[in-house]
Amino acid sequence: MIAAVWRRSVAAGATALALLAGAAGAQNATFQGTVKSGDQPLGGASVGIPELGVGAVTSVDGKYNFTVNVAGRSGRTVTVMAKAIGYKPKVMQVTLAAGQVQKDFDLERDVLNLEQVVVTGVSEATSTRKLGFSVGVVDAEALKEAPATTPLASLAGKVAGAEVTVGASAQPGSEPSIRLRAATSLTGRSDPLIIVDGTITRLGMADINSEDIERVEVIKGAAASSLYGSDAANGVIQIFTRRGANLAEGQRMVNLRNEVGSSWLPKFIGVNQAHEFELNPDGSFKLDANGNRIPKADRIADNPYPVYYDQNDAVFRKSLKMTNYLSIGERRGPTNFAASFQNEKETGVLRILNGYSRQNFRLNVDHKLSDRLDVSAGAFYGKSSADQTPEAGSVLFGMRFLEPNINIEAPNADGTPYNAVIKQPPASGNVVNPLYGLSQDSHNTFRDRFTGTFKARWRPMDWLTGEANFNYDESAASTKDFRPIGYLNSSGSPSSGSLSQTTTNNHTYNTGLTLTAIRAFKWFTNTTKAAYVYEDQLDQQVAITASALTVPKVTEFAAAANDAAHPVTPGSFTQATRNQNYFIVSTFDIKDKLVLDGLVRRDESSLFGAKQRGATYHRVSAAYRLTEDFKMRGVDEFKLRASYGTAGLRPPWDAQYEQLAIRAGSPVKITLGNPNLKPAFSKETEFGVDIQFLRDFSINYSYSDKKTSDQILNVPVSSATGYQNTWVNAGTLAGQTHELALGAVLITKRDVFWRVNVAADRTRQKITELSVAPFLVGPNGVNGTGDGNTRIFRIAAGEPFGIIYGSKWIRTKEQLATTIAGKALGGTVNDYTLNEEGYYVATSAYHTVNEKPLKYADSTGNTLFAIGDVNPDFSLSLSSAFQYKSFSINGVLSWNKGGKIYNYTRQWPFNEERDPVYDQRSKPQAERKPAPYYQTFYNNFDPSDYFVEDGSYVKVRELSLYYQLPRAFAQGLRVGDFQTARIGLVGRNLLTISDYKGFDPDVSGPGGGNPFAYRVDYFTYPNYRTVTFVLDLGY
Amino acid sequence: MRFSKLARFSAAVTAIVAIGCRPNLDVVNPNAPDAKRALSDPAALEAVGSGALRTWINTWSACTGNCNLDTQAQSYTASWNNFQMNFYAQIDADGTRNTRGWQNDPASSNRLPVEGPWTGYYQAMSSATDILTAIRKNNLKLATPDATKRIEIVSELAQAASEMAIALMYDKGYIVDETVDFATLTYSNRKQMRDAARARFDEVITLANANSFTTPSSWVNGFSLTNTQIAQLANTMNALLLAMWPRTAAENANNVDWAAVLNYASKGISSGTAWDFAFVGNNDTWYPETYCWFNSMDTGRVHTRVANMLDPVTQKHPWVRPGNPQPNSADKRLGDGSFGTADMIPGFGNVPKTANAGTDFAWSGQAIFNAARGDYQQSNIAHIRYDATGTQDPSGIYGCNGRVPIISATVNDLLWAEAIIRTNGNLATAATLINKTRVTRGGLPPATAADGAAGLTAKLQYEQEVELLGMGPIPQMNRRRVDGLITGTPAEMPVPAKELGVFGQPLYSWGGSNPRNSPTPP
Repeated sequence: MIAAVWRRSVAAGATALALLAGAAGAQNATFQGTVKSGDQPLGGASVGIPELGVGAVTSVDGKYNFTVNVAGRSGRTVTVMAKAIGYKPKVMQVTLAAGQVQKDFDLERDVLNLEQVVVTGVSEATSTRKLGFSVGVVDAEALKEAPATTPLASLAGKVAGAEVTVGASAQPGSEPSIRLRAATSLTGRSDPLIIVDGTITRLGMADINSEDIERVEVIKGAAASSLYGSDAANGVIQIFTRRGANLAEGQRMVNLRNEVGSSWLPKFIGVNQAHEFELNPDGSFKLDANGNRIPKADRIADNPYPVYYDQNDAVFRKSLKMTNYLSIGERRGPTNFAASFQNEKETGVLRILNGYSRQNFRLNVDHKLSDRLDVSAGAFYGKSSADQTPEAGSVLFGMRFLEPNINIEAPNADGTPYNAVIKQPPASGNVVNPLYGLSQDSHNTFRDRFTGTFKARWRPMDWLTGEANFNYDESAASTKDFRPIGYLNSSGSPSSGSLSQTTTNNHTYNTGLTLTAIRAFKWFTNTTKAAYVYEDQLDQQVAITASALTVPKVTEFAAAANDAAHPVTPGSFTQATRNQNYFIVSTFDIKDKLVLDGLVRRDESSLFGAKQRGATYHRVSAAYRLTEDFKMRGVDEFKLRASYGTAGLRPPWDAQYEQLAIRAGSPVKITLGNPNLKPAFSKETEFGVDIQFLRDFSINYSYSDKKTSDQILNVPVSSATGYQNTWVNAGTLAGQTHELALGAVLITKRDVFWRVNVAADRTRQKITELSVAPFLVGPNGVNGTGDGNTRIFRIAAGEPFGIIYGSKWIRTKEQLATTIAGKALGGTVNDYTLNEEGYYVATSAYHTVNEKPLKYADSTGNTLFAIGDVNPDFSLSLSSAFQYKSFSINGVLSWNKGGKIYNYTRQWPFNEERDPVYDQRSKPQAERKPAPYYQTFYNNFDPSDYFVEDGSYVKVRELSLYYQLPRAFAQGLRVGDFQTARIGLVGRNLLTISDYKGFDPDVSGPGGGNPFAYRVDYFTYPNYRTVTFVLDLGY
Repeated sequence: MRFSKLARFSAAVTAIVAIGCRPNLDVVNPNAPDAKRALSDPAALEAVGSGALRTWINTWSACTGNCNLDTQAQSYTASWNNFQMNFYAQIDADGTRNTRGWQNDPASSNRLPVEGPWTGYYQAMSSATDILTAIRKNNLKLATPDATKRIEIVSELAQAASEMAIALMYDKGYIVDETVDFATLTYSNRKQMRDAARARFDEVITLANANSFTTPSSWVNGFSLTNTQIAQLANTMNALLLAMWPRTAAENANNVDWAAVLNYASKGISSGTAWDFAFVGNNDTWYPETYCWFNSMDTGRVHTRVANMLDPVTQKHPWVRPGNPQPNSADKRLGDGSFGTADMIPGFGNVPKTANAGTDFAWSGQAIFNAARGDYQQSNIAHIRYDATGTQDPSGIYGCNGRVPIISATVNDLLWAEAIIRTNGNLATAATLINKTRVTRGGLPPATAADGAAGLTAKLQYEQEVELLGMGPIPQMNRRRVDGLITGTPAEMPVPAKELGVFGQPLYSWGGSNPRNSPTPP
């Protein structure tokens, strides 16, 4: 009923406009014709005269019709262009005259996406053929087969130079991290600026679903991103969601996609099933007079535990993954819309938890008010809830310390699940029964997200367009942690419970005005855009913590104890940010073969120091299409390009301020203010070549040289001042990236199609300058400055970025000789023996209970060295799209060669002998090592090269198999008017081949900082495998 | 028409841009005050000054910089390496700690014990200096003259106490007060630091005795102090400063003004009605961290060196498997080592409490530490004196709550007694002071003048070992001044690498293969 009213209204509007148009028919030229590809009509193709801003969209049967007022233009030669997504555009020259003009177009499929039009970083929508820099484009075609829960995850393996990792956690509802080319910040993150439908979004992407995405454009550094100024040194990702604009005139599109399946861990971490203690004849532990286990004289762990429980199997489960997605779009006359609803449920691989669920709604509407004025609006609302385990001190930590003879599924003494008291000697506060923790503690987050966009475009002149936009983004989140009264620690001591709640409200908006002039001259076309952009952000948070409760089973603060020993602690912050920016960008397209581009941008931000409120950026770029001048046999396109640009990194919100923390009501000096704090300044030079040859092959190569100076660093100040630190601009980080993208259509036949894309890159990063003393950084500290255990990455001038520092164990004769020469070891090299595991040990201790590895020291006695480089040698991804009749197979395979990971998840429980390396049962008796030998590697939990592991992997990220059911099947379903139906099987993170000993080499440290530079494995929620069944209906 | 349209469009754009172009970019930080806001309001001054004292107390009680000193001194023991307390306590194969000098290197996590106290004490010193600058140089006044004087004196106490801590723990430091010029600030050696602290304590004593006030109980969480008590505390701290300053037995013999110690201690916190300088912990802003770690049976133990003193028969030193049996100490503070009930703390290996249970120590059969780190680190005796707010409630083991001493009256008694002995004073008086804990708390036979100086000194040192456990850096200082630290153990800290790095000064260290401390300053 509603649809019928809508259709009548649209039809009436269209008729009225047609009548109005007819009234002026005498001076008009009417363009009409058909757009097709081969024998297939192309609906939704756009045909128009760009320089006049007129055109139309083809109907389902490929027909178009539009009118041009030729008054004052008669005799002028104009270009008529026909274009459609996924097809190479075509142009025809027409001399304007009143009357009817018939033009038919036959478009060729652009299977390698060589003719894509991008808008990111440029003055106006531009074909990639004419870009002076590289832009990665991922369209819906590449995303739709295996849409990820969040858009950023969808980019993995699809863009050269883009690294995607699971980030701090793979827990359902978490957000992955992405880095484009080399890092720009020594201590901060490298998150690119993300823009969704014009909204500069700083509130995360976890709420956004991938199915809505029409296209993603990625620019990877200052050489392209200067247009976005002081927040764009990390590159820009621009996401465009589906609109009705690409539908054929009169077309309605409905898509219903249901995906149901399972997730599970493809691999568990190994468990030590042997110990070093004496056993009674019945297999139980022999105890001494004090009730302690008795270590065997040889201390070799080769006795089995009396009983073994598979704790991994008890904690991890196969879980539900379900997605329901409905989208509706329609285009009718001057109006089009697209609406969608997505329901997502992912319970995750941890038993007991409910996991993550989300409901998203989106509506995009475009309306053409007149030939010169059109408006667009969009609204997004997302609501999610997550029942998770806290990452810090989580059950994933505690369970790694459990002996394998502990039955974690046994009940407590009072019959309640699950056994909390772990009588595992020696007593350890680290041990937790994960099932008890999961069942008792709760950690829930509820999020709401709203985004609203509005844009108006007005063309007062044929050559001039004005655009005004307003984009609003709002996020509200509430996280509550509850531990009940009586919660038992592993010793059996009851807790008095705790409760904390954090409520966050973030509001941002950006608004702007843009003027774009496009003038065609005799031998060149100039496009110039001038803009003003204002950004406003307000972040607010309120947190309350009650360290003890007095009333059981009440989960609100009314239950809180509030005395001197157990205070209720409130906290809050308000952070307002304002930025205003101006830019002008101008592009000269000279005879379609030489494109020159330049821009200047001025940013003013409240984040800069009070005496440094403004910063200026610029870019120059050039593209030369060689094949326009020099024909090369077999080469369809050969373009050289070069670009140089600058962009910035804004300081953290509170960096400029002098800050005294309030502790117990008293101000305490923390940060010395810096009114001269500037944004970091990134310069990038990019050279590249784009080649298309033999019609079906393409190569894109880019070389990027980035230098980011004025690093924003939190550095110590003299303690005499009473302050602890200050933020300064100090240091330069340089990075070079080689990127290679290959495309090949291997088969294009009537029933068979096979396309392969390769995206590869290699990045090297070096700290070229540092005007403060070297320091260590790591993930679990604010901006990497905390003193957490994972602070093991050294920042020093001349060092590569991403270097792990720690101790080395003597493995070579040279190391042994140096250590002896430096007097850190006595005797001579002849007093030491290389053991079966490749470590030098004292000969006198070799094959005895005293055998131990030895620590390397240089001639000065220093025992701290670079022990690993996290940077991979290269990353390479292979995407394949294969179609045979009704079958299609798509996949993404990634190969990460090299790059080290520091495995704390292994090291910490190493102290408790939980690692399978302790188990000596499979070795010949003579080669068995005592437990203290391995204990030595624990090294007081300080980093050593023993726990530096190769992070190389080959991973099948996505693999999907679809079958297009006969049309009769869809019609036979009698669900709506569905005409098409597909069934499919989709695998994500399907297979990983790696020597890495942790759950998955796609891991990065907890907390803040740079997940690509701080590659540590630290008890975080592991990356898991998902396999789902898909039913996709549409018309 | 075209130009008219363009003109209108441009005018509209210009107007909107002009309106939009004037946002205020000078955003004020509402979340944390700057010094100007914190110090310009007289009402806020009290918070800054009392905060200086709180910062000092928390630094004195923190594990970082203290727990490692406890294990290095073999007072407490732990195989966990939190706060680097195991790394620095490990003993090399040759019985020394020649590989355990301070790792004063920005690339080493083992630098943190050197960094923590330095940062904390200078933070306290700076806040105190801000108050003294505001009052003495900028003539800022609080609501009443008494209030102004009160915060001035408390601030100066915090400043002097911070200088004391630097003089005791580091080879050199900065003297920071209201006259300081940061542009020309230079290091003062440990003797100069000591003398500066002593002079400042003297000034506090003079001022406190000349004024009358009581501090709010929030300034030292849970305890109000009168002006008289402030003067007594400054006297005790001065005695502590002078007595604990020596890095070696030689310095202890030759570089301590024991007459001054006697003078100060006789006016200290145990003169008249004895009182402990104490606070109530809340596991947050008032954080008795050292007691949290070492008054919990499963995180820290009393070193067998001390346990053996309490019961030489049962508590062997060093520890050997299967471990030391249940004690039967004549000292009531240990007694039979029983603790709690049978089911109270399953897995702790404790013996249910009897009538002969100790007040301060308990026995556990469980060898809680990792054998691979050396059995010599095991002990069967736990310190439970401050466990769970003194009620020995097992649920409070991790609580970090309750009343704990910062500097107890016993500290003053024992300094007083030692000063009497070392100045050839009345040994009976010294014995009386020693007996205040030896007999009253320990139930041991009284010390008498007949013990002689040596005998009394031995009993005095026993009381220091048993009574002052966990009290800031005092246990380690008592050991270093009698050359009681294992060879290679550093006796003082260098200026932290972080501070040296600010000025580009070369890194250096003490202990290990380096000398254990700086030469005695002239």
